Formats: sequence, C-alpha cells, structure tokens
Amino acid sequence: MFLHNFKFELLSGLRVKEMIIWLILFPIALGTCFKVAFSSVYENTMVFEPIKVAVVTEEKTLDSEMFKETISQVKNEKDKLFKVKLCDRKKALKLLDDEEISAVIFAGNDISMTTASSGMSVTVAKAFLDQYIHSRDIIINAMKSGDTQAYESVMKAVSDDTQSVVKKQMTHGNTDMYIQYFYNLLAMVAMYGSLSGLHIAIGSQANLSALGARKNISPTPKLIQITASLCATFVMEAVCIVIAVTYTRFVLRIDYGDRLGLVYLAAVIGGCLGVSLGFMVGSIGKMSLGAKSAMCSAVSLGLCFFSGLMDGGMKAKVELAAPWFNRINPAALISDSIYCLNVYEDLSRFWEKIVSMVVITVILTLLGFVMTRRRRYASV
Amino acid sequence: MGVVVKISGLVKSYKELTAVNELDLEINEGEVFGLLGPNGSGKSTTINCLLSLLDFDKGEIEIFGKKMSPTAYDIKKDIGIIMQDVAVFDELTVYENIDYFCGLYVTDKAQRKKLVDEAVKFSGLEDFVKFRPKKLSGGLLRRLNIACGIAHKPKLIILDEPTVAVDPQSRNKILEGITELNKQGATVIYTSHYMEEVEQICSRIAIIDKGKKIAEGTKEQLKKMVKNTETISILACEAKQEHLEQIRQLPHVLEAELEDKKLVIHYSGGKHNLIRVLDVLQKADVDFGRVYSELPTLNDVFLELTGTALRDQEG
Repeated sequence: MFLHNFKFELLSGLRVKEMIIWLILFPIALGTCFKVAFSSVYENTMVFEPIKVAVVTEEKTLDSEMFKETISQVKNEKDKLFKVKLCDRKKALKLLDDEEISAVIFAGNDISMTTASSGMSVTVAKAFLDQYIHSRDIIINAMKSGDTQAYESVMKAVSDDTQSVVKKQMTHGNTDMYIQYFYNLLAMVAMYGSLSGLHIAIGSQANLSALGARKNISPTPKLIQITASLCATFVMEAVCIVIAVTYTRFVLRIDYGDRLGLVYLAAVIGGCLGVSLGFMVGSIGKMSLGAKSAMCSAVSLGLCFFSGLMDGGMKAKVELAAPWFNRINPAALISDSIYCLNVYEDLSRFWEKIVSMVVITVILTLLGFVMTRRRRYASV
Repeated sequence: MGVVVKISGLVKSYKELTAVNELDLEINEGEVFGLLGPNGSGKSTTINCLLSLLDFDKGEIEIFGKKMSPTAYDIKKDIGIIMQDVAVFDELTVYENIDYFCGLYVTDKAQRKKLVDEAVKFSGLEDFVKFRPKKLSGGLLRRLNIACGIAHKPKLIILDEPTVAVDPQSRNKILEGITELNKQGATVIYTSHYMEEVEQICSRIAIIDKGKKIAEGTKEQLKKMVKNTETISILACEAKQEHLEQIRQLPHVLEAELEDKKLVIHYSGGKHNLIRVLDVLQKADVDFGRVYSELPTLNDVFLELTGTALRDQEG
C-alpha cells in the first residue's frame, strides 16, 4: 500500500507543471540573473588590486635600504600588497599626476609619502608606512641603548607584532557578500517546496478536495496515504534542489567551497523543511486551495525576504532587532547552514543549523499529522 | 434478500439547519435504490454520513450488517463511490488513475491489472487510456470517475449525482453501465434530482425533501400515491369555455383547463379517457392537432406530497 501510494504520488508530482516552473526553471532563471548582475559588480568593487606606489631613494642610507628591503618583501608576498616602481622624483611625480600610481614614497633619512587623492589604497599605504616607521624607531632606540637583552626582546616583540597582523586563515572559503544571494536562492527553492507540501494536505482532506474524500473512503489507512505522499514529495523536492545546487555550482560556477556533498545535504534537508512547512499550513482550517496557496507563497517569500533574498543586509538587521527570528526562520537556517559550511573550518555551526532544521521539520510534520488526523468532518 | 445498508434515525445538523432529520432507510442486496430529492434536500449529506466522512448528531448506520466507522476498512473494501465532483489526478493518465484507485483496494498486482483492464473496457475508455483527464470531454471524464470508483468490483456502489453536466449520449452510457453493474450483482445506491433517471434505473426509490423522507417504494407504488393518474393535452385552437364545461362532466376528470389554445385534462383513474374527450371535440366540430397522454411522473408524486414541483426547486 505504501509503495503503491508513493509511486503514484511521485509520478503525479513530477508531472505538475507549476512545480517544474517554480522549483526548477524559476531558480535557474533567477540564479542566472544574479550571476549576470553581480559578477560585474563583484569584479569592479570586490577584487583586490595591488596598490601601485613609486619609491624614490633620494639618498642611500641605512633607513632607505631597510625600507626598500621591507617593501620588496611585502611586494614578494603571495598576496601582493604593493606594486612598487623604483624611480627618480621627477618620474614618480609624473606618474602620480597621471594617476598611474596612488602614492610616492620618499625613502632617505626620513620617510615620507605624497599622494594626489584619498581612498582605500592611500589609507592602506599610509597605514603600512606608519607601522614601518613605528617599528623602525623602536628597533633603533633598542640598538642605541646597547642592551643586548632589551634589543632581543624588542626584536621578538616586533616580530610577534608582525605575526599578529599577518593574514591568518580564520575562514575557510568564499566570503564575498554576493554569494549570500545564491545561498538565499537555494533557501527560496526549499521554501517553494511548501507549495508541494500544501497539496499533500489538501489532497488528503475530505473537506478540502474531492480527491481527499475519495481517498478517505478507501480502505487504505490515512496515515499510510499521507506518509507515502510526504515521502514522495520529499524526494521530488530533493530532486529540484539538487538541480538548483548543481546548476549554480557547475554552470554558474558559484564557489560553494570544497564541501559540496554537505552543501547538497543542507539543501535537501532544507527542501524537506519547506515541504513540511507547506504541509502544516495546508492542514490549518478549511480555506480554499487558492487562499492557502497564496498564504504559503506569502509566508515563503516573507521568510526569504528576512533571510536576505531581496536585501543582502536584511539578515544582519534581523540579527540586531530580533536574533531569535533568525534561529527559527527556515530560510535563514538554510542559507546560514551553507554559509557556515563555506566560511568556517569548524563544522560545529553547520551541524547546529542542520539539527535545527531537522527539529523544525519534525515539529511541522507532526503538527500537520495532528491537524489532518481526523477521520470524520463536520462538513464536506 | 439481505439488508446491505441500514440507516436508523439519522440526524445531521449544520448549526441551525437540520440537513437530515430522523432518516430511516433499508437497502436490500441486489437493489438499485434511488435517493430522489431536489438540490439541498439532504441526499449528499446522507451519503457522506453513510460513508463516515461526516459527523452526525444522532442515529445508527450499518453496512453489510456491521457498524460503519472511519476505520471499518473491512467494510470499505467492498464499497465503491462515485462522487458528484470528479475526483481524479490531473497529472495521471486515464489508465494510471484507475490503477491508482484500484490499488487502494486491491494489493495483488496481477489481479489489479485484470480489474483495471476490465474497468477500462466497461467504461468505454479503451481509446483514451493514455489521455490525461484535462484532455477528456465532460462525459468521458465522468466515465473515468465511475471507472475509478468501480474498478475493484465492489459489492455496494454509491453514485452521488454522477450525471450532472453530462451530455445525453454519455448519460445513457452511464445509466446502462449502472444497470449492468447491478446485473453483475452489485447493490447500487443512486442519488439524483433527475427523476427520469431514477425512474429509468431504480427498483426502489426514496423521495427526500428538507432532510426528511417523504415517500418510499417502487415507482409504481409511489405513483399510486397521487390522485392524478393521467394527463391529456390537446392542441385545440377553436376550443371554447363551453367545450371545457362539457369535458369537465366526463367521468374521472379531476380538472380541465384551457391554456393558450391547449386543453389540459387531469384524470383520477378510468379507462378510455382519451376516446371520450376526442368524441366531445368531434361532436362539437372543434378541430384539434397534437394529442398527448402522459402517465404520472415522480414529479407529480413530489408535487402532490410537497406542494412544489421537483423541477421548480432544481438549481
């Protein structure tokens, strides 16, 4: 009985045009739009370019040699901070006038910097220069003191200080803000699964559909019918969300990090959560299918909105105003789980989100069962 | 003949409206039992209570000698239901729909295949097995609805207004099918507000109005309840009041009227009524055209029992 119901529910579900449109084609179209819209913005604003500076050595001193050595080390790091050009004053100032460089650094007994404008690159160059001068002065003072022990302590401290500002790998993967939209896109696909869940509730209630009435009259227990329908819908939703992840990852080349298997897992569990949400909403009251569909769509979109589908900063605003909502908002949980997976080396936060999603799925499904459990109706 | 369905003192109310009021029914094995009444008379409510879909306030319902309940699966497996609204999956083909609903009753695959094939043939849907319901005409859709309800060969078949919005050809096909199912041994409960259908196929009929059973019996028994046994209509353009008076003096005439050049005469029994009235017209040298003689219908029964024509209440 279970397999019979499962087979036909799956078969009919996979043929629903609306499902193909909203759960497969629409996310593909929206994902493609996101990619087109954000890729140019991302390239223009987010990709770090080395800061172009010119270094002018006006007289050859210990300071100037130390500086050139230091800046050349910075230059030689993997993430180039500066693109250094060694030249004379005249040429350097010409480059600055032509806006081919951001700053000119004069290295001699004193080190100074000239800029033509302000901005992030100038700020970074100035910060680097200040840090260098500060460290140099400490070392020189320690050397002048003649105290070998003090000198060694200073060198160690400076060295430690240097360590403290060296880039440390706290995060794991892609943290750019635009990828959040793709996390939320997957959350949206999961939430649209609620429409499929809604149909389970409608199709199993004698007071909501003729199909429900016919099923209720049959000798197959209601529990078996609904469980089979739910399982079939979970499978359908899983198929849709796997398509969405695969398309965004391999066609749009969205970087979900190197734990793709777990991304699929989170997305599939999110899909089940969406289905259970729809099943629960569909089980409430005796509203028409149209009214319940509208309610389900509104709830899904609302949850996606607060998760940041339409405004990338929304989740942060919710976190400040009502952090508890982010803990129970299914769309936020789904996008957060994939975010945690991509960003944190440690998987504990990811599993925390997964457990939350499973618990909410179970609660919503049980509520749906409780509300559809009745076998006789006041009116049909 | 055993009693298949027994309803005793059934009461079902929706707030202040009593939809079914102290209804008693007994339906015997092998019968085609008609439940006739206007829209809103309580027919579908009675069926839904019978099937344990609806809560009811009072009464007892037994099917096959056992108390009916939502979990009486041993009873349900022998019931086939064809609802007023078509209840099929839009995304499944004709064959898949019948297979699905048959599978809710029959687990054995080989047996099910045989039953589904028979149901397809029975309902005349052989050429449409791969069609989806949306591509079927209204009549074919109704036939599919019926095939889904009877594929598992139930002992009791309940049809709740199965011919609503169906063309005459499909309606005849459906009615023939119901008669055939009855011949194969199924007990049938047929609800309708179309008295001609009920008269055509039902062996026993209960007329209900405002939730109450107002009459029950064979169609002959019901028709005997009315005084008007025959109605004769004659198109007579030249007929005058004096001729009408002469006709009223004839034996067994209950009432005679002249309606828009048409004489309408109601009788309460008697033989050769038509000959007598034509004789009156011939002697008075009144030309006449079309002549109709109608025996009483269930509508006349309903009219007599309730004071309202059944047709007046439809829709």
